[in-house]
Amino acid sequence: MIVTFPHMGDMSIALKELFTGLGRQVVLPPPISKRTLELGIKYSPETACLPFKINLGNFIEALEQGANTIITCGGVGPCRLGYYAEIQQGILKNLGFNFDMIVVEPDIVDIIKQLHRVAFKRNFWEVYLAFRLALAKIYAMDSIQRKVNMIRPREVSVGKSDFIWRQTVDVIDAAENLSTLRAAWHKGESELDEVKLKSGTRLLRIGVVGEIYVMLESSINQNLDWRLGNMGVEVYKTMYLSDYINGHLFRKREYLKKFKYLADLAQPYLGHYVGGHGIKSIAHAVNMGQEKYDGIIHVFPFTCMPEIVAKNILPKVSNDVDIPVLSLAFDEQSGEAGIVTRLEAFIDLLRYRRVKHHLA
Amino acid sequence: MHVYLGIDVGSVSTNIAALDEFGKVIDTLYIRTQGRPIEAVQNGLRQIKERNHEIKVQGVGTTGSGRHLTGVIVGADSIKNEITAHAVAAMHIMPDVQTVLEIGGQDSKMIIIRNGVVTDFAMNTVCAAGTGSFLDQQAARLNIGIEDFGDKALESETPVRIAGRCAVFAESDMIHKQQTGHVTSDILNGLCQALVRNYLNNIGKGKQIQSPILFQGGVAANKGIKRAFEDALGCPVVVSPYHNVMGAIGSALLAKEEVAQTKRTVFRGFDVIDFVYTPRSFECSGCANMCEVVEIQMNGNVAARWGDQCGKWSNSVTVA
Repeated sequence: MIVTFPHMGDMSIALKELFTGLGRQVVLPPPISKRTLELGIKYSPETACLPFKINLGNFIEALEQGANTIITCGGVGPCRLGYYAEIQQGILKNLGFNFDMIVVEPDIVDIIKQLHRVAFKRNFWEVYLAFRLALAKIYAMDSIQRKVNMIRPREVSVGKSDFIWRQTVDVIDAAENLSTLRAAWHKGESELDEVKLKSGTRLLRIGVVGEIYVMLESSINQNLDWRLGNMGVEVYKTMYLSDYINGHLFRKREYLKKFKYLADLAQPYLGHYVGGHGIKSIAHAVNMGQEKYDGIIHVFPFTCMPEIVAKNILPKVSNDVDIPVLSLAFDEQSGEAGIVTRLEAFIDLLRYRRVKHHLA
Repeated sequence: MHVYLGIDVGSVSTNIAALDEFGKVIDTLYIRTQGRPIEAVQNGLRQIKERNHEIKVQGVGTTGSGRHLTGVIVGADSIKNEITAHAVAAMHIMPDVQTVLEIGGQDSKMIIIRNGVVTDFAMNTVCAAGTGSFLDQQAARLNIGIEDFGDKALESETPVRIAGRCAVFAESDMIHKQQTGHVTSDILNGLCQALVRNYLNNIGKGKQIQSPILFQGGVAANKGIKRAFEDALGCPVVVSPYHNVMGAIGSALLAKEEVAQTKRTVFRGFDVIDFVYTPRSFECSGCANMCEVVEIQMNGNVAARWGDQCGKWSNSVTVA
């Protein structure tokens, strides 16, 4: 069994750790490139959303490199993701690839069951250790990324925090146990603490809401965090991988409490589940408006159903809580220039608005 | 005379506006970009210089899709996106404007302004049906000069319904209507209405369109489109007297704002008309990002690089 899985942001580092720890050989799909996209588009239905196409490209490239077992996620709708594994499996079989696909449902019991299937000559304790280290890597990376998003717009020498970020990710990737991981994490954080910052001015604060894949995968969202950071904006992403795991898999009490709170905020606008992160996009927009953020950027893959529902509700939210919202749909046609122009114009809008509020 | 220059390098046209210190428009120029932005800018500046011997440039701003490139070429004080530039110009021409409709060569936008501040905007995303390029093409196909398009459409009293959702289908629908014997003016009028419908559905969805409304961009010259907007919105639409160079006017105003802060322009002077600029691009192989880096050489020296994420190339240029 040679295992592979789709990319999503830096998730591959954790999954590689997990499956290696379970005693399996892992073939990572090559980094998402133009070729990945081209392969994905060529063999996907035209109206499938971008995550489908990229995942398919990842699978093809990994199978070409010798993987024979694909591990991917299922889903319970109404988001179309729940069907993706089946359709991708069909497409890949038609292309003549020979492989097994293990579909993990977003449910902790199913995950443990499936992990047990993958584990090779490992006892329960060893499975637990692998799982723990993989999780710790996710927490470490998310924590550092949050910090980078705060420092990037303030750093005196541009690119410093990104340099530290990339170096730290490499060390985290290589860490073989919890203590080397912790050392890498602390080293990364303390290096970031030492980055020289510009003093003074209160920066614009923008919250990013929307669909998780587009939010986390920088090759798809045109490096949104990085672009905004370099335009002098503090970026708060409302979703990181660790949030998803804690909330949806472990169902930790603090997260469930937060979900309840968010659902209540969204209630006047959207009272029922529409799949994906639709409700959360609305709720976070309300929340961030109340917390006096300067603006919201709403990101989603073109044709994403839950987020299209959210998109059509957001103008009302924007009006009610007085916060500007920019919706951006991403697909394989999304040109860099178009995104940059909109981001720049949006930031100008927020700056003028702030000056006006200040004068008022 | 002290002036501020604004240069708007778009997909179809390159526009230059010269404003005096009080923001009064002194001269404007509208030429075709023809896919050669550097030459277009040099050419435009040459014409401005020849027509206005006495000017002393106090600041330069660039906008449009070619703003970064142009900014390097001329030495710009302000490099701003076209949405902000159009909004600034609209408020300059019509201080109480609440809605700006803008249709250019390949893009169309709507800007919502309240109390002198932009509160919302939209720009066409996936479709260019209804922009200037499409009108150009259809006018050519019907053998009508683009200048006469609007007047011809105004002759019509009974528009034909044209499917305007998509430029390709609109064209086949127009051909069909021609072949069933409708007169050209009715078809043109129908096309105007279809384009306006499409614009309002795509760009204007969820926007509060309130008057006063200013209509600008190259397409604002088309009286047929203006009338179709008025019919659809049920209120008067004002066409800006400088409708086709509003981006340039806006960027001149932004340059003026910028120079008020910096006190000194970075304009390279009219000498740039004769400089030799050579752009090239390459893919950096430093990491998995594979950034496409653009490099501009000015008279044989590297003047700017951009497109890299890490700053390895863009930070390495020392010549300003």
